[in-house]
Amino acid sequence: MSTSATLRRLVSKVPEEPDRALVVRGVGKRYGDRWALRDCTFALSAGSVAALVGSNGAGKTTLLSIMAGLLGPNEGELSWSRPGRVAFLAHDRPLYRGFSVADMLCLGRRTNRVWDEQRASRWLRRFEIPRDRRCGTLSGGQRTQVALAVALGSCPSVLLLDEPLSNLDPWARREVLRQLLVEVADHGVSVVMSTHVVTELDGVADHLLLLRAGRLLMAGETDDLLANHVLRTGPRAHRPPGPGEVLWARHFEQQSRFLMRSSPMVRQVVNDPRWTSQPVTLQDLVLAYLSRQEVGACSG
Amino acid sequence: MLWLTWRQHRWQLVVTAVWVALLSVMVSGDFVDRMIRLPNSICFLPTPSLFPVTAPCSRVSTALLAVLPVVVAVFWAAPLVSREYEQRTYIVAWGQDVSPQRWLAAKAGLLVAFAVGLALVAGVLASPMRARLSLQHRNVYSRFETPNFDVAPLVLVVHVLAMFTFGLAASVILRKTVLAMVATLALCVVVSVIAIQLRHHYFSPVRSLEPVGDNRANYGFDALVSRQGYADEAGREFSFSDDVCLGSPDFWGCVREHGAVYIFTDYQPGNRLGRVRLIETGIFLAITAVALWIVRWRMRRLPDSP
Repeated sequence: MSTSATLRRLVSKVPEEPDRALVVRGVGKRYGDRWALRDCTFALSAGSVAALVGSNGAGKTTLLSIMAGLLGPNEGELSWSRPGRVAFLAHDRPLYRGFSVADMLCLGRRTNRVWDEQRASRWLRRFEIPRDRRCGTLSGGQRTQVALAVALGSCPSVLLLDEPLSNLDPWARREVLRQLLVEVADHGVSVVMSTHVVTELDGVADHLLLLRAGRLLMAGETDDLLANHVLRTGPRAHRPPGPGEVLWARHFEQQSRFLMRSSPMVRQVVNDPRWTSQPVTLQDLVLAYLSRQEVGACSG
Repeated sequence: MLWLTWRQHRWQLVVTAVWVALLSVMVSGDFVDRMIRLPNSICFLPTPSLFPVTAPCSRVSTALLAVLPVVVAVFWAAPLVSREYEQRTYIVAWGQDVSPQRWLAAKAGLLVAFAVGLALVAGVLASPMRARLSLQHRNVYSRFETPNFDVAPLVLVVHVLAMFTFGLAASVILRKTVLAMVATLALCVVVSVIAIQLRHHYFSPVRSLEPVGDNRANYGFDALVSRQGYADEAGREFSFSDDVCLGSPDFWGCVREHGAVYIFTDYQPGNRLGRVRLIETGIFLAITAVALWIVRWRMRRLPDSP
């Protein structure tokens, strides 16, 4: 398998870190005077599913476009640990309107060195997409499935998906996520997907990248990030018990709740029976970080 | 890439090929001969000239054939990249194993090869008829004049190459289909007008003097007439508007009464036709190389563009 020449220019081997699929160091992108992305540094493991989350205009599409090789960064660099194809699903699902679905697969077959017709056809069958329909007459959800079929048929080692669930019905959303996990398990594909549907990422994403205003607020393995945060509930108080950074606080008449960053080791030290500790969900974590005023990068 | 180019551009290719085939038949077969013999046919168009002649049908069909490079530039080349940008399908096209540079080289190469093929066939088919018209209708039909000059096989081919590359450059730089098409059309028109004017100036013109009233010009086959006017007895240019004689029953007598003795004609003789074609070919190839360099430079910068 091979990447396009555009991408090859951005790719270099990282032999010291064989389990890393991608290392991004200090990547930034400027449009005119405005920085759409700044100082973005993170690494992704091979065969992982990373959720790229952030508010509108946070720089998710810019980051994905840089990773896809469609945009060149103004600063920083990307390193892919192994050669392979990177397939990109753009948020508006561009397809040739005059082409039939079968023509789109034919395009994939004729413009890729490696092509798995069965894999692409299987995806179309699963989502009941008629092969003879013109792409211009397909619904938004159907366009997503055709674009995904072409992407998977090209046997990618990395799938970059820009809001793949945005125009899918609830069944299709669940099924797409399930099938993507099958692709990860069967073919070792690494997936990076931007999304606003954080609630559906539980059990799917093993990495989280949280962007706000072009800055990476948080990057790391989901399990570590969740383990290093806790939701404390207890009597009304200005400060929570024990050490840790308060990310979010809510005060009620007789009760206070704090979402805190603190390691499990530190948490054990606190032994106040009036306070209870609960694990945080991915949505709690994302909302807590996005609602904070100050911007500063951190990692799990 | 052959399949993709055919699938995306098949209607453009078929329509242009049919159009060129029809025109080739019109300018190459005995169709023109028959039309010339039919009085009052639509193929006889009056020309604003000193001589009471008519332009045969071939002039119209030749003119339509001569604009083939402009059609190819505006409708094939200008939308080539800009439409991909507008419809964002460049993400699909360049997201596969084909790099943008290779994608463009393959598609443009195939399209330009097809256009050059059409130009060659049309130009070669039209050549014998043009030679015959030049012999039979000297001073009315000259292969040196526009648009007859422009449908010579070599000239038509280099015009196709150059103008296609203009369209490509506009497409890559402007990235808006309609804007690229308009800019390409404007550029093609400007370059054509300049090229037509330059044909008069590569070599110093030859001057012939004919007595006023003697309509038998003697500047030979395939001449390119640059200027005509009246001259006095010594052969010097004579500033005089013959409008004053238009109402006179003896037009030439009236002109002579005003002091005009000769009609002078500055022209490029037909034996320079080959050399002028070669010079223009060289110039167009040089322009093509510059436009191609711009396209390459712009395509190299693509990953850095928003």
